[in-house]
Parts: sequence; C-alpha cells; structure tokens
Amino acid sequence: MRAVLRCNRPALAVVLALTMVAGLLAAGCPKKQEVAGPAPSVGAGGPARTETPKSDEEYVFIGISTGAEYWLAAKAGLEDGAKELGIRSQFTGPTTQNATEQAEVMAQITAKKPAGILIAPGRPDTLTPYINAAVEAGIPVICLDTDAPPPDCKRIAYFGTDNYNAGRRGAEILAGLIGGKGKVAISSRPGQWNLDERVRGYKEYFTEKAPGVAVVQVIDDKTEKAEGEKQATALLSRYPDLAGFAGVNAVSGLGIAAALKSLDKAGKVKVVAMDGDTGILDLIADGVIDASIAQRQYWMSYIGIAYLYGLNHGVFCKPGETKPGAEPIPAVIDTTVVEVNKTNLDQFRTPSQGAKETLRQDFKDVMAKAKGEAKPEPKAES
Amino acid sequence: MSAPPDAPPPAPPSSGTSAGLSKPILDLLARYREIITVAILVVGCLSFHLLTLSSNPDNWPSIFANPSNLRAMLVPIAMDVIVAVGMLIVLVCGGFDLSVGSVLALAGLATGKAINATGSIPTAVLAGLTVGLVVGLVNGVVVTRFGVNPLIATLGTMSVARGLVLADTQAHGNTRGFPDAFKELAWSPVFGLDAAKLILGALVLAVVGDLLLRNSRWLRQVYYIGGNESAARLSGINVPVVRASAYMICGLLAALAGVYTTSRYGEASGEAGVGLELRIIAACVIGGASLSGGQGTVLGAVLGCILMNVIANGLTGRGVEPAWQQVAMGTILIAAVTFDTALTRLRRTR
Repeated sequence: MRAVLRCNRPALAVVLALTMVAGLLAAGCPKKQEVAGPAPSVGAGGPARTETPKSDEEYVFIGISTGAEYWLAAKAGLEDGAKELGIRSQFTGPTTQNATEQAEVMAQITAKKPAGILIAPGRPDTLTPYINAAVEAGIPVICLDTDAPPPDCKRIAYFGTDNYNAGRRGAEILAGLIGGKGKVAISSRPGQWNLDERVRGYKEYFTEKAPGVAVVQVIDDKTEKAEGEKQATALLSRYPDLAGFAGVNAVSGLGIAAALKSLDKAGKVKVVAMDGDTGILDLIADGVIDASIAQRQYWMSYIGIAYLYGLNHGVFCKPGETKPGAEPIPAVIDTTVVEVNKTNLDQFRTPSQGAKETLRQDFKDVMAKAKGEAKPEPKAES
Repeated sequence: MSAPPDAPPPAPPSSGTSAGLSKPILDLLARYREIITVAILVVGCLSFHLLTLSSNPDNWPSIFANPSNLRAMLVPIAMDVIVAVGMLIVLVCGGFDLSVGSVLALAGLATGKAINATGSIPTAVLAGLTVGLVVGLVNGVVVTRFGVNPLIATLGTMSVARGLVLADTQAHGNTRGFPDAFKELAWSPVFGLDAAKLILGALVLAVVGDLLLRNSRWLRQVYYIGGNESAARLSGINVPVVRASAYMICGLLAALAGVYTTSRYGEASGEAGVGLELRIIAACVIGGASLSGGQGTVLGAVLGCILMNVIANGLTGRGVEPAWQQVAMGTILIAAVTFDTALTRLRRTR
C-alpha cells in the first residue's frame, strides 16, 4: 500500500499542481458578465437596486498598501457606488508601499481598458508616466487620497483630504481639550509630505488661534507603534507637565496611547489621533484617546466612481471644459475630515456605516446626478 | 551527483509496481525539469485566456491575451529575469542570496546620487554596478573565507544595504530630479516599445546565461560545487573563487536592475526592491532549482519568473484581491517543491 502511494506521488503532485492552478482561476472568477450595450436600463422610478451589474463597464481602483485597514472604507465606497450605478468595480494594488509594483499594476489595468481608473499614487513621480499612458489610451483617471499634480500629470481631478486643513482641525480640537494653553507634542514621520502638511496645520493654528499652546517637540514614530511608544515615553519623561499629544498618522495614536498607559498617564494627557482604524476606536472607547480626525476615504471613491461614470455618459465633463448639458468636474475636492469621539464612536465601527453617518449631501448629489443619465436616453427616445 | 541530504535511507523493493509513470518518462522529466513548468504555464495561460474572453475590440481576443496586456507583463518579467539569472547561479552553487532587493535599492540610490552630482550617465551607471559588485564580493568573501552560512551572511548584507539606503532617504527624502537624458535611458522606445532595451537585455542575458551555464567549462563548475563540494575541491576546482564570483555576478545583476529601476521610475526610494529576494528565489525554485544546490537551469528560472508574473497578472485581471494572490503564489510554490521532492524520491526507487 505504501509502495503504491509512493509510486503515485509524482502523478499526484502533477494533478495537485494543476488542480490548484485551475481552482485558483475558478476562485477568481467573478459573476458572469452580460454582453450588453453601453446603455444600461434603470427603471425611472428608483435607483438601481439590483445586485447584478447592468452594464459591462468596469471601474478600477488601484490603491497602495492595500492591506492597511484605512482602505476598507475606500473599498466600501467604491463597491457601494458601483452597485448604485449598476456597474462593475475592482479594487486592487500592491499590499505594500511599493510604488514600482503599483506602476506595473497600473500598466496592466490600462491594458485591460476599463471604463475608468481611480488611483492613490504611492509616489507621484513614479506613477505620472503610467497615469499619462492610461489617459492617452482614452481612459479617464482620477487621483484619490494622494495627488499626482499637473502639469506633468494628465489626471482629470484629485479628490482627497487637504492635509493642512486636517491638521488645523486637529489643532482646534486639541486646543479645546486642554483649555487653550499648555505644552503639546506631535507624533509624526518627518519627511513624509502629507504628514508634514498636517504638522504645519497644527503649528499654524496654534500660532494664530491659540497662542497659549506651545509645541515642544515633533517626534519621529517611523509609522510604527513600537517606535512611537518608545519616543513618546522618552518625551513624556522629559516634559512631565505635557498637556496634549497629537498623532498625525494612522498608528501615531497607538504609540502615544501605549506610552501613556505604561506611565499611568492615560486620561491626564489629552490625545488627538488620526484616522478611524479599529485600534484607535477602541482607545477612544477606553478614554485613552480623546478624539481622532477621520478622513472620508469612503466618499473619495464613492464620488470618484460617480464622476468617472458621469463623465463617460455626458453628465460631467473635464475640469475647465464647456460642454452643453454637462457640468465640469471640480479639478480638486477637499473631502475634509470628521471628528470621532465618544459621542459618535459607534458610527465608525463599520466603514460604510460610518460614512453614512458622516454623509455629505453634496457628495450624494454627485451620485444622483451621475445616475440621472443612467435612465435610457430620454432625449433620444422622445 | 551524490544523494541530496534529505535522502531516505533504503530504497524499498517496489520497482515494477503500477504507477502510471514509467521510468523513461521520469528520467525525461528529471532531465528536462522545465517541461513541467512549461506545462503549468500553458495550462495557466490557456485558462486565463478562456476565462477572460472578450468581444470588446479593445480587449480582443481576451483580457489576458490581448497584445497590450502581454506587453504590460513584459516589464515586470524582464526585471525579475535579470535578478533571477544571478540568483540561479548562486542557488546552483549551493548558496543563497537574500541581499538582492537591498542591492537593487542601494545601487539605484548610488546611480541617482551620481547622476545628480556629475550629470554623466556612464559614471552613474558605473557607480550603481560597482555597488552591486562590491556587495557581491563581500557576500562571497564572508561565505567562503569566513565560513559564514550564506543565509546569515546575505541576511546581514541585506540589512546593511537597506539600512544605508534608508539612512539617506530618511535624511534627504527620495533621490529624484534626474536630467531627462537619464530617464530616456529606460524610456526611449526601440521598435515602438518603451521598455525594449530592458526586454531585449533580459532576453539576451537569459539566452547567454543558459548557454554558458550548460556549456562553458568555467560556469559548469558551479554544478559540481553545489552537488558535492568536497568532491569538487578534490577534483581541483577552486571552490572559493568560483563561489565568490557567483555572488558577484548575482550582485552585479541585481545592481543592473537597480540602475534601470531608478531610470524608469524617476526616483531612488527606500522601499525599492523590498521583498524581491523571496520572490526571485521562489521563481527559481518553481523553475526547478533546489535550495540544497546542484540543480536548476537559467531556462527554468526564466520560466519560473514568467509563471509567477502570468499568475499575478491573470489573477489581477480576474479581479482577485491582492491578499488572495499571495495565497495563490504560496500554494503554487509548495506544489512545485512537492513535485520535485516526489520526483527525486520516485526515481531513486526505480
């Protein structure tokens, strides 16, 4: 028996290998796509509620560090938007912060000729030629979260958080928490452009609006919880009278909180963190972190897909263009931030739920307008 | 070649049992191990093609097999091939090189610094390649002269090289702002294909590498060393020199990929090449190389690179999420090694 098994092993291995390949292919097989014309039909009465896509069109979001929790909400926004429009969507991109890999994914997606591409460029310089290649191939591209700015880059628009304004908003909350005076510190990753902008927002707000607040130091947490804890612990022993601590990247708050807990200072030092990851939400529930500045990545992809769809269907036109019956897409939209604290914490527990509660009516309007064209060509019929 | 270290002691007297695979076929598979990689590749490509058939003229005949997608796959394949050729030589030699990703980054950085400092392209390219040769030499000397295990030695240089890159990028940000002439190095089209230099370069390297490794007396020595080091030494092969030069070739090729990366992506960054080493080793192993040395061909490694990229591309094309693609890659790697192990065992029982 053993001998037989042993003899069959290579044959088994071949079968195994081939089955695996086949299985994986099958696993990656999305729903059957209908070969349909470009005109999706939606009942005039209500929005597209059906699960199956009405149109063959596909819109792709290429993220970076796609394993990060931050992107869950962006993915939910993309999928919800696609469902409302009755189109297909795909979320992809490297799991690490690897911009060269992202560039090659972009090249591949471009070759697939989707109806539109949303991209969060890992490094604008690296992605710019790839974005331009897609635009030249006739695929509209919108940057989300991070911009690859013109004139070098030919992207249509950029929707994301204005980091400077996000910093100012955080400063406003922190100044309120500490009563407008005292020493504060900031945990960041100096040299990373978006974080530097947030820090600048904090500092300039304090200078202008809360002169009693002094930023004693900006520590480098290397976007790592353990490193942040080490640095924050050292800083807290140097400044025992520290009144407030701000963290400007998604893990800064975790490091600050760990340091405060081990020094038994939780609740005594006021903390404003960044983003709405589960770890941060839990610490808000525990009272270690007082508030966090959540970005609206759900809405970035939600309006992103709505604008791209509307552009392809004549409801919107490119920024600066004039086209009868079409509204120009804003070249840049600051999706703004929202404060998370104990009072509204539960709304942020699931990505799309949090997004619904922090609804911005103007964003809903964009989707409504994009969907308006989804009705079967009223002019042509009448 | 003597028995690999994992050989099970006695061969059971089971020859002649019905197995479905006769000895000549087994011998053929063992001799031309690439056949199995080609088979999986063909099955994979066909499946992806059939699963993504498209009547849309933009994507005709399928999302996978349309010319522009095939073209999009060439760049990542070519980049992997360049590094894999060097890695394969080291693997055959019974070694291991974890430092290739860091060497790629460090060489890319050196190139970027040199071009910004001197403005001379030949100087910049030379600077990058020198970095690769030096790290390769260090690897070789530490492994052969100091007798350090290759895994540890190259883990060390991997960390040192990455640390040097990060020290610079954290102090000054990514190195960028290169003159257009330098970017043109990677982007200027030949035959209407922007990455033609890279692709042709990788092709030439693969063909020459394969022929030399099969036929040149000097390079064939790596098989003897990887198969049985003491026998190789006794037969007069200068083991330390051959082994050290394998590491230098590997470093040089990783550096070449680094120079190209800096030119193509217009930036030398801290995260360039992160995770590259494991991907390349996996590709070589899928193509038939063995971590215990003495086995593997350049052709096999090239096929391994193509297979991994085809699967990544096909899965992305099907909308499979990145995390599941990693699951797929790991599964295929294990399947390939399982096959090799089973084949070796079976041949010994016949």
